[in-house]
Amino acid sequence: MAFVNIQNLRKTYGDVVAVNDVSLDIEEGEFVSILGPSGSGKTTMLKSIAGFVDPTAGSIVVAGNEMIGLPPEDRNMGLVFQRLALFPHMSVFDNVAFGLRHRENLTEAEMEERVAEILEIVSLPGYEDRNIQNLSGGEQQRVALARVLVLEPDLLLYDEPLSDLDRQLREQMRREIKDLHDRLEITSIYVTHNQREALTLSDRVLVLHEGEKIRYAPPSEIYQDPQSKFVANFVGDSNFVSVTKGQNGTVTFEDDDISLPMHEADADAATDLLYIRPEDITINPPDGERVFSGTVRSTVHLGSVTEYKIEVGGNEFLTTDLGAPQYTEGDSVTVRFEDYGLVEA
Amino acid sequence: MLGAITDFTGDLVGRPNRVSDWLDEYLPAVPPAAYLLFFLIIPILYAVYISFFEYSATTIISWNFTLEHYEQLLFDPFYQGLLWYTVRLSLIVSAFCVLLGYPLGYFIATTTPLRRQLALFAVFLPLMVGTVVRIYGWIVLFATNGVINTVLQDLLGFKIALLGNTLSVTIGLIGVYLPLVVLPVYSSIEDIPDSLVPAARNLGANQLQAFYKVTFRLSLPGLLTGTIFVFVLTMNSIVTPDLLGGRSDLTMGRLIYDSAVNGLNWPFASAVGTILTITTTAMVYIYFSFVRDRMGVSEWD
Ligand SMILES: Nc1ncnc2c1ncn2[C@@H]1O[C@H](COP(=O)(O)OP(=O)(O)OP(=O)(O)O)[C@@H](O)[C@H]1O
Ligand SMILES: [Mg+2]
Repeated sequence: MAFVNIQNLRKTYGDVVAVNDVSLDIEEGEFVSILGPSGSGKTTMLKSIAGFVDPTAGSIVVAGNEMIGLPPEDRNMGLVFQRLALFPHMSVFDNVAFGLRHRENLTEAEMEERVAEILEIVSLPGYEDRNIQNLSGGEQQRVALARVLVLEPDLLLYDEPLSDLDRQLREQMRREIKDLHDRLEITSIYVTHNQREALTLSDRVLVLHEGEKIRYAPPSEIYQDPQSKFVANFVGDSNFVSVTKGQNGTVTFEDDDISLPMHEADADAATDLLYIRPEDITINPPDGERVFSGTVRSTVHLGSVTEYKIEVGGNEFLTTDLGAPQYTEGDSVTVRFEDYGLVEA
Repeated sequence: MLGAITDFTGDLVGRPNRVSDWLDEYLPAVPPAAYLLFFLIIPILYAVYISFFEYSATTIISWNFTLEHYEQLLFDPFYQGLLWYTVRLSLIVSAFCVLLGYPLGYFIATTTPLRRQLALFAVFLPLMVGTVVRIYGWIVLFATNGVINTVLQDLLGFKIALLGNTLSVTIGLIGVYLPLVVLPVYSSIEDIPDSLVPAARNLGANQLQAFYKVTFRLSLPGLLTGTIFVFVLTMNSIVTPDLLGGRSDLTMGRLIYDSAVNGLNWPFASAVGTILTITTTAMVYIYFSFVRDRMGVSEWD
């Protein structure tokens, strides 16, 4: 059995089904993200695992032990909260030692050693006597990590720990979480609605939508083969076009006479919705196949990339190009669809 | 405004303008300082001052120095008993206000919004009605010929003394001052972020340990504030003991009132006031230090 084995987890609040029969296996040392829009049941799942929500049905086995029915303090899991939940009335040392005092029988000297060790690991050496309230956002984040890491938990749980940080700090902490995981290899579940975090951090991503498991696969697989419109749209942006399948292995845009050769993988797909990633559309390519003419409808400069909306036939496509804007509204251009696929509507 | 002007003149002269810097810094403190001076410090100092003079039936204060009021208050068993009665009453009332008020404040802070509103309303409502009005209401109910005793007499043929004793004074004071503990406790628990207790549980604390180390500990400032209010007000209470108590339920406050207003013995009343203030301050200080040392409460936010 996998290190973490969740079977048919279900939680309802009256008529609201927060988590709908979700099953999940996580191998030891794996980093798994739960990705989904607001209200999709991410926190409810995480709280069920940590023991703060009583599931309506299902089982959660960690390291061979059934967790359902155990109070939170008897599950050896470290939970990092969105708002960190550091104890404001305690020093950094007392925050980090809090768990050691309850979970382990250590002498004061052993405890000091363990705390010093873990503060070293999260790059806060010598911070023991600091007051929580006087720490910067990033430092508080590290204390929150140290506080759970010091207990060497079976399972690390993160509930959107970076969502309150500014962009730069968020990027930095994301890298640090990744480094920590690479070094300590603690099995982790990371809840987020930020696809970038999910894709860059995880070995596998669970995509939730309205309490249901939509996909559970490695990030590259989810990105390259989204399978459903929801995933194609939520994990990365996508353009969608209704198509009809032709006899000779082509798809033809509805309302247009644009035809594209169909990928072999899509030959049996029982769907007529095509998705095209913005980065898979090339503007003004050298002549070749699959080139169509269009008109630039809008230009937005986003710094390192520029976002265009281009009308091709009766459809408008979002596309991105590296660098500063080269075309302006009204320009006539040609486009080539480099890659695309079919998804369930 | 003042700051802008100061900066401007500072630039103009090219060096710090001492006088306006000084004004900038201390001017905002003047109104509160004046308030304290006129309404607290001067009256107290004056009261302490006249407590060292003899009483005169004709001029009230005779201006002959004496320690007789203090000798009387500190060594006469009657007055000793009266101080002890006041202290004991205040301790008991404070203790019960904590025992009843803390759970009530906790309940209000943690229950559903609807129940919270109802409970808060129930706690606030009595504060809207003056103490005297409320106590007269109780008297109508509990007096020897009041509603309850009339019913008892009719049904069972006897009456019980529900008023005019120390018990009725104690219960009355608890009833009057309970909100003063409930409200600060409620608000300090309400301010605790929701995730702190789950965080403590996740780190291995059971429900009771998490409550003690997080909720209770973070609500101590509120509890402390509330208890000090109740203690100080009971030490100085006049109306409730007067209306609900018997002849022997004499507090220091009633003594001051009787001496100053009925007896016009201002020097003696001032001496009672001085002793009451010193005792109250000393006890509050001891309580405060005790909580601070025991609980490690060092900061008050
Ligand atoms: N205690 C509760 N009582 C009633 N409904 C709840 C409760 N907790 C969650 N829900 C509902 O369950 C659903 C899932 O909520 P959950 O908090 O798990 O979403 P989430 O994916 O974490 O969302 P977010 O990204 O906004 O944090 C929501 O519809 C929510 O309203
Ligand atoms: Mg959530």
